Amino acid sequence: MRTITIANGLSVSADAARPPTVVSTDQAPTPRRVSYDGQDYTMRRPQIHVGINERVEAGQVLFSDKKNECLRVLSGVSGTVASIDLGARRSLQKLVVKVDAPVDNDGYPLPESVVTGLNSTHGNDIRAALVAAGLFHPFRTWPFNKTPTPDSSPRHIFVTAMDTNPYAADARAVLDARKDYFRTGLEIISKLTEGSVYVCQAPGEPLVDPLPAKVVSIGFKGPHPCGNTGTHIQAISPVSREYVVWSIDYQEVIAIGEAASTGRFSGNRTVSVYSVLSGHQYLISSLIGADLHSQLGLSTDHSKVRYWSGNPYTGGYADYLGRFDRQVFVMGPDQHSRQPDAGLLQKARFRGSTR
Amino acid sequence: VTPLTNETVPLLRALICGDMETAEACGCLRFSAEDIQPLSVLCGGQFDFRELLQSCHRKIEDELSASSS
Repeated sequence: MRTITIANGLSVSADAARPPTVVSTDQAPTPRRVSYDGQDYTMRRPQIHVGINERVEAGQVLFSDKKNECLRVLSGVSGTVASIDLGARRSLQKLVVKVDAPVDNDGYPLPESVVTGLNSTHGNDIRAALVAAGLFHPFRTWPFNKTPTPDSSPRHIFVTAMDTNPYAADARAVLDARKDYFRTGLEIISKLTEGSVYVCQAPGEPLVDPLPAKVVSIGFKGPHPCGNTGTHIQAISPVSREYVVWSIDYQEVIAIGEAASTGRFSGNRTVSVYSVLSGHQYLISSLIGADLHSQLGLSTDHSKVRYWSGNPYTGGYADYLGRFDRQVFVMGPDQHSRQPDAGLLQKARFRGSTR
Repeated sequence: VTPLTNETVPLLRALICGDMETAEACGCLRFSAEDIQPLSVLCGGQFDFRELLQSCHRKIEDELSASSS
């Protein structure tokens, strides 16, 4: 396997660079509420398909983008729409569903036509099935970092299977029991492009062996941001206005593989939790957009504990897990810094030639 | 700090000024929000480069779609 070393970046303290030691993933309890944050989806003109107090079933379309028919967001739970917050120029801020039925850990069943489409050999059928299942919007185009439009086709697809953010989970630990789904997912997405599918991972053995056709595994070594998708694309195949590639997170590839293999959509994602208060790190399997207070089973009193969803740089204080967030920090009420660990960047020193 | 460009400071300056041509020449198309946000944290100013980058991307995208139609 080819390994690329990145010299520039931020070095963080050894504690922060170490992935969680507890690798067994526990299923978090059913959330009381699930939130869909409009900012997680790159919508130009949102169209909301449900109303307040309306009953929604798992798999029902909640909202979509009028400008891009590939962007459809489906409810992962059954319940009632509790609130819809609109922002400036009728942009969607947040849609909250109050859960009233237990959530099946294996997800909800997908229509037969979707499963047939996912197992098809034609790229267009696969794309239509992914859109119908709500599994297409996690793809991102580079440049512009948005959900691809129906007529676009990528030169290559990049699968990000590493994370160098402080306190992030190790992809190998997450993938351990789901390698078959990951391989199936890679086989499916490789049919969406004429080029290659690059699996960008930490150095070492390839995450799946043997790799499917057209799939190339590449190792990245170095300080943060060497685990960011932008760094991988820049090192392998830099983008321009005309040269477009797609990227996707490895947990979304697992979800695609699982949908094709079992015929069910699973909204569970493995999330790394770090408590700033106790210093404990662990992994949980949590539902997309889940209410963090009920998921982590900690105090619901905001004066005692607050949550930070996302990585220390791009995340923020939140009550719900973000759509693409894979990290949660448990913080005390007196920590009003912009980052979960205020000392993290003070300890960091600059490397490289730019400063 | 970032491996994406050797012209970090000119890029940030162009984003603040809204100078799309310079920003593109400095490699703004290679960046996403997660790549540029650490620079907001490290920069002494109070600029949200994520917001500025998104605005720059939107303008370039609109320009592209206008030229293609």
